[in-house]
Amino acid sequence: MADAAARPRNPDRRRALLSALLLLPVCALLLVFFLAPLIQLVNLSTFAQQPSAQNLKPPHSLANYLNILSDPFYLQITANALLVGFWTTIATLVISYPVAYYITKISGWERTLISVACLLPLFVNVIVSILGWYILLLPYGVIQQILSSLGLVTGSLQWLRTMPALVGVLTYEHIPFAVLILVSSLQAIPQDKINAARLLGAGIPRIFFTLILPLTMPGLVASAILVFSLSASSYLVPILIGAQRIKVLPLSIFSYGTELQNWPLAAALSIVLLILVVAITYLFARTMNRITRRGEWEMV
Amino acid sequence: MRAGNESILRFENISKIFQGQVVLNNLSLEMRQGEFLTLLGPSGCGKTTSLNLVAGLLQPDSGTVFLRGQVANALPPRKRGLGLVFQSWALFPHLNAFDNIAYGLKIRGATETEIRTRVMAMLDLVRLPGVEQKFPSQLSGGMQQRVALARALVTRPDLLLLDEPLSNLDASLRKEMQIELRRIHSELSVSTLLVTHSQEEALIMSDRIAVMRRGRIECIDTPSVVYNRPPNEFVCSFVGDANIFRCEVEQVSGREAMLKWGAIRFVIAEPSGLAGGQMLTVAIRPENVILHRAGTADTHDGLVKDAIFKGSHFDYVISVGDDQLHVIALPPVDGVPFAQGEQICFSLPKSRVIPLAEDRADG
Repeated sequence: MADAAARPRNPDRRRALLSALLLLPVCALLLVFFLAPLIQLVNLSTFAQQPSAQNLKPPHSLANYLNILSDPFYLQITANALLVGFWTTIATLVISYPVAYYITKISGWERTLISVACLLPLFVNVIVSILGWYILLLPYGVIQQILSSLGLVTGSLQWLRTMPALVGVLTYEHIPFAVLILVSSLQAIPQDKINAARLLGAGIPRIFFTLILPLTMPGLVASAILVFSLSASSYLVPILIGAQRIKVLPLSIFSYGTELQNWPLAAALSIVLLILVVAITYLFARTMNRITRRGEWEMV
Repeated sequence: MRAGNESILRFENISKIFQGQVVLNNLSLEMRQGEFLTLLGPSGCGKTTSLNLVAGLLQPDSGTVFLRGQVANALPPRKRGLGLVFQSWALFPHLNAFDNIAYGLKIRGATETEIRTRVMAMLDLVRLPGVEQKFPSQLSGGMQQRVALARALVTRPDLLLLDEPLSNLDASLRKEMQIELRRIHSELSVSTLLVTHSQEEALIMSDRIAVMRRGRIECIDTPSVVYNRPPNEFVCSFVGDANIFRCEVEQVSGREAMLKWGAIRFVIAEPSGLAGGQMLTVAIRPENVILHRAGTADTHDGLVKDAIFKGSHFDYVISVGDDQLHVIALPPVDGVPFAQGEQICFSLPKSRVIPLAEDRADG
């Protein structure tokens, strides 16, 4: 104690130390549950064959990656996964933006109702909600029955195993995230700025394109990154809605990993998906930031 | 007065109610071309609501807004041809100073060269050359304010609205901008409607001041009349400091009346409509009370209760019987300031005593 009292105090250093201590748990968590498995995955992906009891450490090689890059099948399923992510992102943003805008314009019970309705999919178990869609989309399912009774369609509807159905359900799953982000982004725009534009002679379309859209671009970019990375690597929705009819990369990763017991190839496919998603989102964010000159200005 | 005779803005019996609260109560107001008119009042008096009605951001519940002699109630803000500087300045954060100012010109389809010339001229007018490429977040408060002013003026509006534009600035910058706004108003002779709660701002900048309270205009006149002859106690105490006290009218004789306040008697000029025996509230500004070392027939005795040195002058608190007077004075001619505890004499110049009307009980 006497020693501590005699030492010159340095509040800045103590504060820095405290911050570091507070970060420690999350760092430890990430290290054990994220970084270590990732390193293991990379390691695994370079094994030439499945490790076995006889051969715990097979020789390293890039054979798996060469295999993936030279096989049109893998390229096709990779492209499918990215395409699913792309269309889901577009659909989610197009639907969420007006909803988020509407939420910022209302108040009271109406706002509560719409906010809850938007967030509800988050509270429902994914499998349950997907099965709900399954029943709706089934040939001779609910949607078909309604359309048939109106005389709009004859014969069985083959919607279930199609790309639009897959993108539709993924969109439904991701709307809550996008709405949440976009509402806060739209709410951050002071009404004064919109009024200023009105006074300067701007009509609604101009206000939207010159003011609201650029000012919410960070929120749009964040939503897009989130929705894209989640939907491009989604497994549950493709397996239940698309089944094996629409082959996307995550389905193959799962079957190589479990059914075919080829962990190195499954690991290599995972790494390919990871790198592609990270690279695409990074380039997207960078491009958008350059276009909107983000980082140079701040909200005032 | 720089104002012409044409009306740029007229309110006719405007009322506005928010959630059962009467914000504007049958308000009528006229502003002339080229005039600098200030709406002055405490918060909640309806001044900002009035400004928003002019801008078209709000609609009146009843009554008519005329702009340039035309009924403007249903005119959307973008068609009103006004310039508005917001309290927050409301600059577009993602556009640099040049594009902020050019915003209104682009909407009007001005050519590139015209936009450049006019934006540069505006930046010169507000004395901010060289900041075109800066984003608002890179500018100081005073500079943002100037950009906002330039943006509002570049489209050459014939009515400029200022919504407490100086309240986010520090004191010295505010003084500077008051002078700047005066200069710009006289250079462009653009009709200007200022909303403020600062009496100092109103006095410095306005051609006329409308003092508002509870959705009504209490008085509208030139700064000197509002200050020197306020009609009632509210206006008198809101604009400047004043000693306000209730007296009894002892007798009225011709153009003078004798009033009795506690033990002292004094005379006021122009006592129109007064009768002996009635009670009257009067006011005198602190700088109009005259202090003397030696008494005469017209002076009254007092005691210096406190003397505060303020640099250019002294603030005195003078005890008069049970009452107190606040007095602002230069040191007396002999150069020795009155000291705390000193017995002195004071006089109330008769033309400086302001008779005040009773406050309206309603509203």
